[in-house]
Amino acid sequence: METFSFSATFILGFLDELPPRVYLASWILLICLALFCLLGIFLISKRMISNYMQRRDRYWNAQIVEIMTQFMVRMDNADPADSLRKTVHEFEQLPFKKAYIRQLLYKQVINYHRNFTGNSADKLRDLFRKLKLDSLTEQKLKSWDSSTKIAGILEAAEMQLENLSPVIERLIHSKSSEIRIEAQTTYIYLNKHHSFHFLKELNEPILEWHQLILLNLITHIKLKELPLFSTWLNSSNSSVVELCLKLVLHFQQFEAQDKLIQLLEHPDVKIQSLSIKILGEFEAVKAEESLVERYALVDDKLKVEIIHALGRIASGKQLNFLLEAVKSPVFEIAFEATQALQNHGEPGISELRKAYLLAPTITKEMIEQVLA
Amino acid sequence: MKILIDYIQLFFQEFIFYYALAVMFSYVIIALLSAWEMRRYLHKNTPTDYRNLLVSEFAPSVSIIAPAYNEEPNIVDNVRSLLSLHYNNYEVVVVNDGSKDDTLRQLIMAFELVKVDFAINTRIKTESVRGIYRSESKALERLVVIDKKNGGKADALNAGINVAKNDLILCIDADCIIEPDAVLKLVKPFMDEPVRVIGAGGVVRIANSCEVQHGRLVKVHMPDNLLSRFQVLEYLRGFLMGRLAWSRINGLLIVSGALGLFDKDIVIKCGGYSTKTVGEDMELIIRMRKYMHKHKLPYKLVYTPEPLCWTEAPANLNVLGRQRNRWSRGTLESLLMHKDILFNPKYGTLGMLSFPYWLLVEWLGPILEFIGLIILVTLIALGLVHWTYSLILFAMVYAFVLVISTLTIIYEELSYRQYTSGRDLIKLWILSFLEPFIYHPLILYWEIKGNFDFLTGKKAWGKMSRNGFR
Repeated sequence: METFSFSATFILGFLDELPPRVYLASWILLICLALFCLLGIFLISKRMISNYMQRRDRYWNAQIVEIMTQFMVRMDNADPADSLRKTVHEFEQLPFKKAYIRQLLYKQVINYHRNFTGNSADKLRDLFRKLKLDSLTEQKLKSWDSSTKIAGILEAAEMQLENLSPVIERLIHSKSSEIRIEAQTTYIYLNKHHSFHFLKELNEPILEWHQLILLNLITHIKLKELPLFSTWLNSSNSSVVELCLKLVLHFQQFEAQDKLIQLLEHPDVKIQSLSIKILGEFEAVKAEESLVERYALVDDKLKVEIIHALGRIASGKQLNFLLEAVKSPVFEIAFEATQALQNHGEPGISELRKAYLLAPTITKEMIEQVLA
Repeated sequence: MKILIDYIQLFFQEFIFYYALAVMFSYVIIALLSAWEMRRYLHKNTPTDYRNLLVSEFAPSVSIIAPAYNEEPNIVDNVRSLLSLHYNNYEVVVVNDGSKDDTLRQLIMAFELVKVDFAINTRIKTESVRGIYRSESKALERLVVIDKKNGGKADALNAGINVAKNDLILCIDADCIIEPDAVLKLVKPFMDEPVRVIGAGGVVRIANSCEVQHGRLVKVHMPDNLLSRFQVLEYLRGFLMGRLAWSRINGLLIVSGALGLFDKDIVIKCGGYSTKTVGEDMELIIRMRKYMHKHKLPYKLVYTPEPLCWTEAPANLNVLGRQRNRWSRGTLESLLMHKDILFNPKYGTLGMLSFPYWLLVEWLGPILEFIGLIILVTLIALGLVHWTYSLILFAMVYAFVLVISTLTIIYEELSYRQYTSGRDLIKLWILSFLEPFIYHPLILYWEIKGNFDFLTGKKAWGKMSRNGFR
């Protein structure tokens, strides 16, 4: 203690004699040195603790995996109830009350479940419940930390914990967009009936990324009853309309055609664009007139979409309109019109051949490319 | 003479001292901002399960543009690797920029390419295109090869942009290794930000000594070569600290030329890459940002702290020197081309923070350091140096550099922890002690030389030879 006190007095005495700039530099130096030592200790101890934990987890994971493997093997040969009882008993022999071992087991069962389907996945879910691991998921859902909450939502979806559906429903309108999207996705996943009613009440925007996640889920799970997504095309929330339009297209809900024609005048350009695209994909002949009418009122990007749609519909009634578009000075419009005419088959191709004779070089190149 | 020396001493004591303090303060702010941004990113993205989304048909389409010049030895492997990225909707546009070797023939043979009729929408003027090639194989329909007259990297990228059919363009270096899920991770900011994202970049890492199989990085190692090792530390500091912090305040001035995803519409409206500078990546970003400000369009440039791209760092002094010389010239050219931005409040963060930072810290820093060194040597020669004070000042800067480098290593350790071996971690930490004495003086020399070459009108790119991955 005395040595420390003497050193401190000496350093402070030395510092006091320095000119102001060097005095300031000395203090910065001392702070940096102290910080450097602390950071160094943190870095080394972090790595050492992490290595220790890895070793410890490896040991317990090996034991857990062994029991799990036996469970998977027994499941095919023995009575399922007996197999489950035995496995639960074996797990209870581990120091199961230790939180980290319970966490490891929790992670392992979920991990196994992720890699199995059918009967094996069902049995793993039974095991999960029998070990009362779902209580950990519930705890996570109630956590104040949003990352933990999200992890809980994802795990509830993975283990199909339908009993937690009411807790998840409350998170659908969460202020955090990350929680909201995962809650919406899981809610749809867990409630195969009437799982879309929340779309009606949704005021928050569904960002494109969230739409991608929802679309991916909705188009991959087996819904017991597929709703008519055109129901929500009148929503005042543009992102809900956008999502539903994509779903209308994916599930080929032709009933939505009239609403799609109305949406051509929607104030949101993205929705106009999607509606045009879907009408084209549906080959909606009755939309042709409306599309041609809109053509003069929209920007070049939408013009290209309209021509593309007319090319998909290819009723043969718009050949002259398309031939005019081939002459457009805008490359994208002219090129799309050339392709649209080619989509019409022989009548369109013959018009293109005639146009070729009088066309400027760039149009000739386009026609050559399209007809090649 | 005495008066002159007094003035020089005063300048050295006053201006350089306070300048150094200001620079150190800016680094502290940058370190704090990057920690904040890293935390936010990890918090937001850790739960994301990319596996199901990678092949989603609903993900936006992307055109990958890879310029190639004399890449004969690796081009086929590199293109194969690009064709096997984990993403559903993308095309690969390889631009053979008038290679003098057999790059084109290798591509034609490996991918059964044939010349096709193609109407090019020349929205950006480039050197003449000799032909467009596509594969006869249906499985390779996403590959397009452009053969054009040599015009440099920027010109090749512009030719690729003219041919690209999708709204998002990923500009890459053909000799880089792209992580299989990189496209989706770069596309994400374009879909989950409430404002228009005009560009996104990811962390570029050093692949020297790493194990590579069939164009894929399979194991990360610390480079064997000391020079490359220093670059590991330098890249970590630059990407995990610098760019991330600027991304936090939407002040990014550069997205690495090795990997950058852009909004094609804005790139075209800005006139594409400039062929008048060797720092085309930085210059394009400044021009895109200026365009958005000019048209009062809200926008964002985003940086992803994930390691998405691996590049081979120069492993010998000559090549590294040429690279750094070019970077210095590129920075100076870009800054001079857009000098009207400096302290111009019209450009917001760009004009008041990022641009001044690049000019006063990134560009001016090495010059002042060099001048300071000359003055120091002069004062030593004249016996006018107070050794104790000088050592304290030097120790302050050295200790500060150690803190920043250690902090960078901690960021890496807490985030993506690519160097799993404890030995690699220690090597990296030891490097931070050596860097100010060995690597930094070299970089300083090349930066000064780059500035000198700029003044003497040197425009060449500089030959970059690579050893290839192991």
